[in-house]
Amino acid sequence: MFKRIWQTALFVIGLSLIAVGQLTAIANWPSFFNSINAVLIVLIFCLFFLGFRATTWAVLISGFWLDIFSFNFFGLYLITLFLVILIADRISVSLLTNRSLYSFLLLILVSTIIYNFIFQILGYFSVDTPSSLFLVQKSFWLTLAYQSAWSVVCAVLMFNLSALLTRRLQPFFLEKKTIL
Amino acid sequence: MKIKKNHPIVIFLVVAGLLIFLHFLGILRPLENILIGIAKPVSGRLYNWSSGLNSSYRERRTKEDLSAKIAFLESEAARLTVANSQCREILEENEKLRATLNFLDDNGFQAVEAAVIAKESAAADSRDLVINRGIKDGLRTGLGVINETGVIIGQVQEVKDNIASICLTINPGCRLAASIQNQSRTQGITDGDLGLTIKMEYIPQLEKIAAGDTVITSGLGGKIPRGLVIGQVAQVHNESNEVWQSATIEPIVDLDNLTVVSVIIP
Repeated sequence: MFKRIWQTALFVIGLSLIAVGQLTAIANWPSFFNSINAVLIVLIFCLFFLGFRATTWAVLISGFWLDIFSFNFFGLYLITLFLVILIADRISVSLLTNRSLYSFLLLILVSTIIYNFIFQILGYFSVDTPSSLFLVQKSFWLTLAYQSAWSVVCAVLMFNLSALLTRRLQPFFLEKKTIL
Repeated sequence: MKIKKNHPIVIFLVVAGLLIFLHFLGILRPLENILIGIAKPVSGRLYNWSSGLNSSYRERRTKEDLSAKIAFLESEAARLTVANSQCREILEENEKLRATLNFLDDNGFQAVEAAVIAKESAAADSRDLVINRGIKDGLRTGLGVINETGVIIGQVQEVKDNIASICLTINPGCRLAASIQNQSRTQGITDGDLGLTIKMEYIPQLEKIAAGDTVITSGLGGKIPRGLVIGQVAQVHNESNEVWQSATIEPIVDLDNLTVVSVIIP
């Protein structure tokens, strides 16, 4: 029981720190590095290893923190992240059958693209006087490219790090023993 | 399809909907303020840390940019130096051509402008020039060649269709009918001496010549007009027991730096 409370507290604090860090630290990094979407990467990581239920809570925690600090309409991050996780979960269940690095990479790449599109669409319709459509803006595609690249890099790092820490990601081979 | 009450989607929709609803009602504001207050120290530190990281990165990038700029400017400077030297060459060539034109106009000579395209060493003590004009341009052997100031620097030695070889006045074998500008207008033949100076031999002992006298072409032979400066007498070799005296003549122009010449067509 105590262990579960401890794990939950760590989960909440960790996600809160990542969400706050996303807006205060990562957003302040130099142009190429500030494209890292740490929250999304962590959420996909959660989805991949902890399942949809835990990730829904993670979306609630991180999305709430992001919405508190954000000056967009309240709920933008909550909705966007939830939709992305929902789609990612469907893809994971329907199309990806194993927990390999390639599945993780594909999932994170697709999620990054979907996230950017949903975020921009919701943001576009939420403002009173929208500027030109994001699809014709060079910065959108550039950010998408950078973010996708970073997501893939981070995914590779996180996956390999996890593989070192846990046996669940180690490849399993069936050995055929020969009796002499 | 029946969705259970404790399904994550349902939980999310309820919680998120409640959060958004309460936020817009303003009920959630105290909680938000508390959370922001808790996060402030952390976010402040994170921001300061990222700012430091950003500034150090920018500083590094600035140094890299400056290094790249210096490298670019160095290459640009090298390129411009080359361009500048080419411009100087063209300017010099232009000045020479203008001077040649003026000289030719003043003296009423008909000439063919030519550019020196090569130097050919037929012998150790001679260096012939190759010009970019030939038979097609009306050149033939024996014609006089002048520089931009009108000083004769040699004569056409061999001619091909499009190029010609010129022997310089200092080259052995380059003989010119000459005249010393003294009282008696001494006539003679000049010949190159070791590729350094010009000598004039077989001058009768009675002729009075002195160092500094100007030597010009005499016009004998018909191929080279009279009055073109060959050089100045530098030394007179006069032995009382000899029948002839000789003189060493120094050219008055630098024959190592010829780029544009004119071949005089009589």
